[in-house]
Amino acid sequence: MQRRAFRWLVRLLPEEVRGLYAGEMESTFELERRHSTGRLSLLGLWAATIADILRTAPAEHLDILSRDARYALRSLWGHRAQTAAVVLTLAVAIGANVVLFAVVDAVLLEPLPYREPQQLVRVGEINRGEEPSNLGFLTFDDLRQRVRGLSHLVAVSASTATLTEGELAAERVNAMRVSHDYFEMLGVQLAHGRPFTEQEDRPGAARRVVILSHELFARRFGADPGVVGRSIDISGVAYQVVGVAPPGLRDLVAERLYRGAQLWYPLGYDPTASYACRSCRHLSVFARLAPGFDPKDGERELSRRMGALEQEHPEEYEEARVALTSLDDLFLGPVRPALLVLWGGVALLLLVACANAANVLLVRASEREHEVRVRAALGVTPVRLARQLMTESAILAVLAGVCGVVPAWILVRALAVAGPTELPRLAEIAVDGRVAVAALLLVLASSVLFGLAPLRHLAARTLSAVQPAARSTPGADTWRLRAALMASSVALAALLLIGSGLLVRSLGALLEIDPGFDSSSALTLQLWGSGERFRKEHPEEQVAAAVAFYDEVLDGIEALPGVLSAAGVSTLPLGGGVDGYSVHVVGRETDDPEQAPSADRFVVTPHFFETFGIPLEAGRLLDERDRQNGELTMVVNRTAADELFPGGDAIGRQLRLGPREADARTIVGVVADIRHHGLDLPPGYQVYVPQAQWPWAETFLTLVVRTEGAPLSQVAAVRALIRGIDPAQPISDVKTYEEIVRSVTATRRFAARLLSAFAGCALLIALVGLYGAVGVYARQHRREISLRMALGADAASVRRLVVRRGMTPVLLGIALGVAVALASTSTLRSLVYGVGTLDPVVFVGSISLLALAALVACWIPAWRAGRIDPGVELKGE
Amino acid sequence: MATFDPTPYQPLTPAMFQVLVSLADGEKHGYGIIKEVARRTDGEVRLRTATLYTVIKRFVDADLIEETDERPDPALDDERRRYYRLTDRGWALAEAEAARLEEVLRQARAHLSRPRRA
Repeated sequence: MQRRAFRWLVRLLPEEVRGLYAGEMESTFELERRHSTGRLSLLGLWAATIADILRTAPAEHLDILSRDARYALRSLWGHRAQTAAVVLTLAVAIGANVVLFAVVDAVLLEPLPYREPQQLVRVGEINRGEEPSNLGFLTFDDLRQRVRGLSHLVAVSASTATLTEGELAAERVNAMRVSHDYFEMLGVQLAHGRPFTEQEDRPGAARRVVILSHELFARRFGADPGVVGRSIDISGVAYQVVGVAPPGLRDLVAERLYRGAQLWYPLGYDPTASYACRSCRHLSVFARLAPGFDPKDGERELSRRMGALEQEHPEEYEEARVALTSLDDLFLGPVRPALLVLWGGVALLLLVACANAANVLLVRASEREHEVRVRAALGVTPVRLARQLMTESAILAVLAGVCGVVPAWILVRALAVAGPTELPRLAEIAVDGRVAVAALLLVLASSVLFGLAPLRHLAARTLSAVQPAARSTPGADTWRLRAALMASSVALAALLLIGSGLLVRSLGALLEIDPGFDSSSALTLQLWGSGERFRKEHPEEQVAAAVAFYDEVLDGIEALPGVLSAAGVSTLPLGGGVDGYSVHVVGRETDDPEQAPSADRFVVTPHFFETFGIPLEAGRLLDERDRQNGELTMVVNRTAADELFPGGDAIGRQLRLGPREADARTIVGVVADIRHHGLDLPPGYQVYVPQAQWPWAETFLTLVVRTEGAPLSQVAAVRALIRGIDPAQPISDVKTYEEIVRSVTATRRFAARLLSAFAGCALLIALVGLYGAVGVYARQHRREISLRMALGADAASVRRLVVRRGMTPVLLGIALGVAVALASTSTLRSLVYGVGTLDPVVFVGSISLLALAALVACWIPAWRAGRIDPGVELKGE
Repeated sequence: MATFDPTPYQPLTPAMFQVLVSLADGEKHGYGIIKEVARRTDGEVRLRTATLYTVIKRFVDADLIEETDERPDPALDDERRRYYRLTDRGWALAEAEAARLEEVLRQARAHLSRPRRA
């Protein structure tokens, strides 16, 4: 028992000491024990021995580590070129992995910043099995009052506010209208004040109230908590501030669905208003499920209620049900596939770099065989040798880690500031504790990964006796191991090349799509008409005021030198906004409900089609003839015309938009389709209504100015013109239209670029590794090559031999990479557009590129081998 | 033997010095060293196995002590036990360390024998 305990203790000492002296130590300790008199003395001996070993063991381990590290550093310095190659390739791979982990961690892995975010869902209404849509107010109100299983059900819609308070210039900010319990649903505690009350969320509430974002509170109100309870002026109307949101609140609902929010109003809908109708589906609805309810339960409960609503209002719904989407899926779902693919991409890159490092170290190992054998014969144990080699691998990995993490840290900071805005939670991307731990694990894992192959090789060598190695050539097993590593890196590089090829091809296909309008040489800006000039008693007067204001602005802009035309639109095509309305064909309302689908509605000013370059296909365009009190007219797109009127007689027919009792409008023209929801999404029904004829004043329009020269050169003139007309009207979001269209493909562009960069790195690393390994092969086989040449082989056959040696693992690697790609590219399906995931062009192109580059990498050392002079080489024999 | 410079090994730890000194009167095994050190220092320095053998390993690696081939009758001895003796380098180092300690002592005594300041 005591002997076993002592043996166990001795194991704490380094193998170097233990291997030589364990038996002797045991014998000495037995003698000490035997000579101990009495139990107390024996206990004292044990205590002193344990303390001694616990003190000695760490000191000895540290001593050995420092000696190994010094030895490794000397050895690495002696092979500076190889060391630099390994460290740089690994640094690139580790750095890329750290960046991607920082992104994935912040965007996908961190829980959403709300209380129990898994209970938060978006509620979508489904009719006739179509895609989930927003809800009309009456539907929302019914569900809120009658459905159990939900803690909160809230509706939100986008809004804006023009702050005219105090000395500061008028400022337009994005806002949201929300149900009174919106913040309570998210689980967000306000920094100051209180949330809205239920009374404040009712129509005609006596007081108008707002909650400010912390940013607005700090910027505009000097972070003075006294603003709570005070009245502030919004568009000339007094609103009381009741609360301030907490600092750093990430309102993803506002950010991802709208353009962010700087203040919140209560929704305060009047159920009798025409825009509150059941088919006026423009409210985004969110819910917090009650504890114990999962989304499936909630979906069942809400769909049951929708069924009842359909029975009560059969004309408003059809096969109605509800779909719940978790906020996680809603906000992060669109970017999840791209990020996961990129994550897989960098993992492959790290494997390629590790395989390459292993290969380089293996070459070194085969060159050090003699040294290792001698050291083994001198009594250096295999464990000691392994420890030394692992120290070398660890130093390489740590060097690579340092070289990789520093630029990664800079890159992460840059990404947080200037990354694609489509990436949710972009600003939260940072190198924090979790990322640092991940980086450390990466460094450790890679050092083990690439340290194992040379270790195995050298361990095998130490078992054989010391032999004269000066003239020996490395065994076939070394080459086999190196060939296997080469084949793996080629396979991984092939996989990455094929993956990135597919993304690049789809991006190309996407960019070739004609959006249906001309976004070149066009300036866009948002103008929110507000204030006294629009405050009229009757809606008709409000419409007239809006039309007069925009006519004056647009006429003025068109008169500017260098401006070709200008127009305004309620929702900018491809601008991210959605404005869906039910379409009812007059005369066919009840016969076929299938004919009442949703259309994208655009309220437009005269010259809209000319400015956007949307071609007319039949009838006429909207112009000054379409006045407020004239016949109600509209223009529809080709798809709507063809599908709603298959007989081709759309011109002159009538449609109603929104509720079935809405006024009928006559179709006066048919224009070509445009892409609105995304370049990759086919156009649906699109309807264009003159601003003067929409029953509600459209005072918020996006203006598009077509220019002769650079669009941004007109910004100052346009601003000055609008300020001259009315200085209280704020201008925002000044951009070129091309910028907006480009941002539509930002996520794909980001994924394609990054994956291509990873593939390029992997290709380069694999090629450098191949070049090095074939070069070493040729060098180590100089004698054999010289003999062959002395026996009559010509340079060409020698070159063929060397190339064959290198290309065999390359071809095997390509075959393996292609096989894995064939089985796995389907994971890219959601990111690929316009090409199949087995696109032959991409596969053949990637294979050819890889094979050709590999051939060059093999041919250079082969060419050198062909120039060996056998006479000189064999002279020493 | 080329001239041996002991200074890189100095100063020795008390345990190291005692191990060298204990081997001055002849070869010993590990337990013998422990006993000898304890006897000569009146039990003040008690070497423990881990410390002793890490010192032995370092001295063997540095060629300061060596294992002897001569062993007593194997029947009387534990075959795991090895005997060590000083090499010439070891002698030189022990003497150099003793001289260094002597000098340290001399200087200390000279310093302390001065009249004490008030």
